[in-house]
Amino acid sequence: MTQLRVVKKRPGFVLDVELPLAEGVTAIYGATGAGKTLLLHLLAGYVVPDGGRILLDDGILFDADTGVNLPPRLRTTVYIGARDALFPHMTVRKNVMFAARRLKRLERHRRVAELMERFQLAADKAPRDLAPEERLRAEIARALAAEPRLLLLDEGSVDEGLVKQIRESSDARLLMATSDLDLACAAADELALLDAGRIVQRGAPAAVLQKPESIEIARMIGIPNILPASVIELDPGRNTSRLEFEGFTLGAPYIPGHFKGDRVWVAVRADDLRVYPGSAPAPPNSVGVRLVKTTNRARGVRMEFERAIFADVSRADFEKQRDNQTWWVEFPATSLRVL
Amino acid sequence: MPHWNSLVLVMRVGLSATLIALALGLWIARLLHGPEKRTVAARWLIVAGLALPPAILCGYFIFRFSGRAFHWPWAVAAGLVNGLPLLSWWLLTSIDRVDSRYRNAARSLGASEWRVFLRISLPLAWRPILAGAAIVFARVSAEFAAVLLISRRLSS
Repeated sequence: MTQLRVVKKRPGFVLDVELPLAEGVTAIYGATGAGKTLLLHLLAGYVVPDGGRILLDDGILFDADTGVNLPPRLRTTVYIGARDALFPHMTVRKNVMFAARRLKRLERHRRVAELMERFQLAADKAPRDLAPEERLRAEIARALAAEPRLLLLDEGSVDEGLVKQIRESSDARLLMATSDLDLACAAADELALLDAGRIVQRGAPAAVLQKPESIEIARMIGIPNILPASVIELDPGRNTSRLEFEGFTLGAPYIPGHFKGDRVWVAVRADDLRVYPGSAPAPPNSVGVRLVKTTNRARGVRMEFERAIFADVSRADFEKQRDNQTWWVEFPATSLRVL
Repeated sequence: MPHWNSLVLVMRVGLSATLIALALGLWIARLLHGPEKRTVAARWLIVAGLALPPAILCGYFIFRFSGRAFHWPWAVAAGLVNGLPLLSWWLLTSIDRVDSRYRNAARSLGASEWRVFLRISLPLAWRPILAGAAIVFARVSAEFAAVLLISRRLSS
């Protein structure tokens, strides 16, 4: 069993996290200052928690009740920080060798050679002569040479390919702090959302992003449309319901656990909405609104309508009808998520 | 040439004191390296050692313990009384200034505290360590030279 429960108090901030660590990759997503780095430092043993218990493969790394606190060198966890910590006075190869000391001599040379090749490292270069991405690769190779059971990756420029390489060359669990939801979705088996020192939701990445549990979580994962509504119709037989918003009503799937008249919050992803020019006939389940402003985004255009409705459309779609003032915004019934 | 003899003597005393202070200082730095409370207290003891007036100590050591005849090891001991706290303090601060992420990285890669000290902290701090040794050498030699000069004047 691998499980952690840690409490650490800092002035004006309390980190209180309980998290079972599954095999494979777990991503921790949170804003700057949510406590991601502190959490990883607590696991690595750089900072001593005020309370809690850390179990790694049934071994106790830290236990506040019995006073057990393994020093970092016995924890078999390796931390890779946002700033690289390759020893500047050693070559890349010596750096990796430094970590492989637990292995027997022959085995050590074999393992180091294998890692150098897998991560495409120039053996005799000094760390300062490496490009940032090479430094990260070197640091990962060095970490794997120590044969950790838990690898702690703190931000940096880790990408999907690198996570895959790590999984191929080691069976260590990987806990990675990230502020990139796309990376978390692509590379992680489990996603935990950290907000102000607490895990607010966790689960498979797709599930977490599909079903945020509260308004704060919806905001955190970048859902801009969060609208208050009241339930005016519920039909479990036909699996439908109707929600009344300020000035318009929409159809949605049946909402279990709610009654008629309940006030609820509804979250809708900006890219789930479809927009049509106001001159076209009204599509089903839509609302007519005026465009307030548009902003350019990496993947298209974000349109902001009155009533605080946001829709993301592709640039080509937007260019076709950019002179429109009034629009139909269609809310596909399945896109409405009641929080 | 009595002057040349004096110079050789000053050099000998200065170098010996520096080397011994360096060896002992590194050992003290290794022992006191860490944020624990007791090491903080020990660090202040070192500072207290720095407050001893060097010239008076030198003279006292040389003439009190050498008796009538002058033995240069006593001069080295006198230099150490002052040079050791100075160099230890200097070593401690220069080793503290090595970015802790290197030390932490080495620890989590499985290195013992001695290994961290010898393989990481020392090599990364060798410039300031060398500078500190040079300063201690200069200071011990200068103090001893001054004491030597005055004593020769007085006795002649």
